[in-house]
Amino acid sequence: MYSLIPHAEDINSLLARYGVKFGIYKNNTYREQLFPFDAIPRVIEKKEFDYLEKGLIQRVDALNAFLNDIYGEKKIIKDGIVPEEFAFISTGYLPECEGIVPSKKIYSHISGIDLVQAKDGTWYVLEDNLRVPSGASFPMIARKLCRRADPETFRTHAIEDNRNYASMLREVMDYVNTGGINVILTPGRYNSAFFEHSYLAEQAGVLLVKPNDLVVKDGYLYFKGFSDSLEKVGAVYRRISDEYMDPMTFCEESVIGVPHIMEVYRKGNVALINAPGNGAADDKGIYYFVPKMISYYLKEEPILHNAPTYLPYYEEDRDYVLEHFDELVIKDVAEAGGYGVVFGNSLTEEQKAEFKEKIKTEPRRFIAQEVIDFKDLEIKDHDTIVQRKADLRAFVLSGKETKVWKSGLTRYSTVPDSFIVNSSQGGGFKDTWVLSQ
Amino acid sequence: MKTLRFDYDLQIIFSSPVWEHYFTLKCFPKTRPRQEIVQREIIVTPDDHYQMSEDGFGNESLYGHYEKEHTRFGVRVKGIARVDWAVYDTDPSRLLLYRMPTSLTKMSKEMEEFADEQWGNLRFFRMGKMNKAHEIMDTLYNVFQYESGSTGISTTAAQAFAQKKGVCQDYAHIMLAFCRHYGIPARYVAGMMIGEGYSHAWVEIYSNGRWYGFDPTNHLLIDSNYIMIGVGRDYQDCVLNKGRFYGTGEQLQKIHVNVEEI
Repeated sequence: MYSLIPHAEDINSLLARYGVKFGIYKNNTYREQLFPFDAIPRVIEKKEFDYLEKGLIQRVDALNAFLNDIYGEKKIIKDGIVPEEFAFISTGYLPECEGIVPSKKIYSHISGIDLVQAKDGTWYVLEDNLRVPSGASFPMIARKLCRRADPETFRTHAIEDNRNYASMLREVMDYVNTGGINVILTPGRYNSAFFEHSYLAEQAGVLLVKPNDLVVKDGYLYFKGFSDSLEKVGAVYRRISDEYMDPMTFCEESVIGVPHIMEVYRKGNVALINAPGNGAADDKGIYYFVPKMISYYLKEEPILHNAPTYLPYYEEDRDYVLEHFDELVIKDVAEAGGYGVVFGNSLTEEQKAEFKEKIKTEPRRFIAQEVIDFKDLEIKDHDTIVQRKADLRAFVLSGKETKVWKSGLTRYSTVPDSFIVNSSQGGGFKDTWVLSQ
Repeated sequence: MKTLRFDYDLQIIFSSPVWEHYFTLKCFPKTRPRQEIVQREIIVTPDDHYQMSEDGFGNESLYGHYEKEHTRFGVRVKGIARVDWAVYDTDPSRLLLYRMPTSLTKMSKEMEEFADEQWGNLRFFRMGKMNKAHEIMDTLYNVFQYESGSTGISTTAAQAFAQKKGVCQDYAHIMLAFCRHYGIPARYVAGMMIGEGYSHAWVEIYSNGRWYGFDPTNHLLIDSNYIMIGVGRDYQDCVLNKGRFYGTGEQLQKIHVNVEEI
């Protein structure tokens, strides 16, 4: 586990040269910065990963079933499992997608499920990312550089090879392709995730295109090649968020979209990866209902747990939240990113009373969660090894079958005891080793 | 039942040429439970390829792309409609969408206080949805003033209500806000009314398995003098024409609508 430490500096300088940066797509903006790599991998035993794998497949299958339902018959609402307020007010729900059936009925082709492990070893799902989850390229390239730096380590340990991500992606694209070429659509090279876009395109052997390279003609989508030749496009892995994707349907000011691409999609003449409108299933308010979706659609017990969550919308939960206010994190469903997240015990008495009043008058706006005591991971900090909080983004790919990539993105916080592991706090990442035996 | 001849004409003149013009038009009356379109002709100028499609609310749309330079753009829809007044909706799946406020139809504090003062009583509480909608329309008609040009396309219900004046779109938005506030599913309707002038907007509420139309601007129930074009949660879902192009010219837009009984 420590054998890669001597190579850490070399690997980091190579990552910088490749332009490996991290950006989070939240509040409709990208934050960008170099993403430091820690050479001590997170190791997940085979048995443990088998369990995660089963749970993740189950979860993503249920989320896909929910998306099919919510943009179709809406049975889960009618049956009273998910209250309509939670389904239709969320900004992720797009009425423009009503009645559209995506190719092969898959909405979330690439799902990034964020997990944390508590001190007692229990895994909890913190967040589902079904829109444009990024980050797979980091462990991919880090592994490649690690293998180059120290082949011996990989010869002597039974580690699942994670370099198959690109072929898994390709398989999904081929499966949903409606006839035509596969492309990855990037807003352009000034996008902070451009490294990932270009790397995935190169590794998967698909064309990397910018919005101006695509045009809609006679109900189909085409790639404009040399001397105005047109080539039909059958699948687009788009790295542009929903609201900017088609100025004729969504945000009119968008200059990074492809006008009328939604019309082609609606006709079933192109597959969009991931499907627009997936935000309806990964909202903070909807998260609470994912275990219920699993029982409702799959008739199975949820394998993976949510962080214990309370919904003040329900009277019983509201009473609990008001009583145990100090022990909980309260999140505003309407706010995105880090905004609207309040630790109950950080407020003054006066603020508490005010906040409780808000919960009583607008119960639908909030969710409350128990604070999970994450398990720390070892991080090399200059000359010492320190303990830091970390999460794991698992990548689940849905094509003909739902598969979990046997690796993942482990992000850690550089600040001791901080629970916030995302890059804006100056965090870094690790390789994630899944053992094959 | 009435037989109506309709003519919707939109012409845009650009002061200097535009090009790479993308457009999406949703100004097409289609056959729905309350109306049958027996004849319809669509003329788009410049005449180029276009495709027909449908939006998330089941409205018909036409979209296209005109690459070459042009200084005029227009669409004309002419035809004959047989119109009835009773409405029955066969697609309950989208019904749920019409109960939630949207950004254009959100209640302001002022509106909430107003509603509470007007309707915060047992008498109103005991009424059925239809009667409630009636009363909301009556009240709105009394306190709100029609004044063309006093609001714009992005004016919210709250803004219009604050100044107590606006146009048909504002009447509709405010009524939608109040109806949804009291749990009545309600939707925005863009359409045409008998006579000559512009396109019109009104509200439909859902009660006992049926849609009922209310025209708060004219204080009327929807009858066979109205032709529906589009439905949605608010104006934003029923924009009759959207365009995007390159060019710096000014645009002059002329809309002329004529509906007459034959």
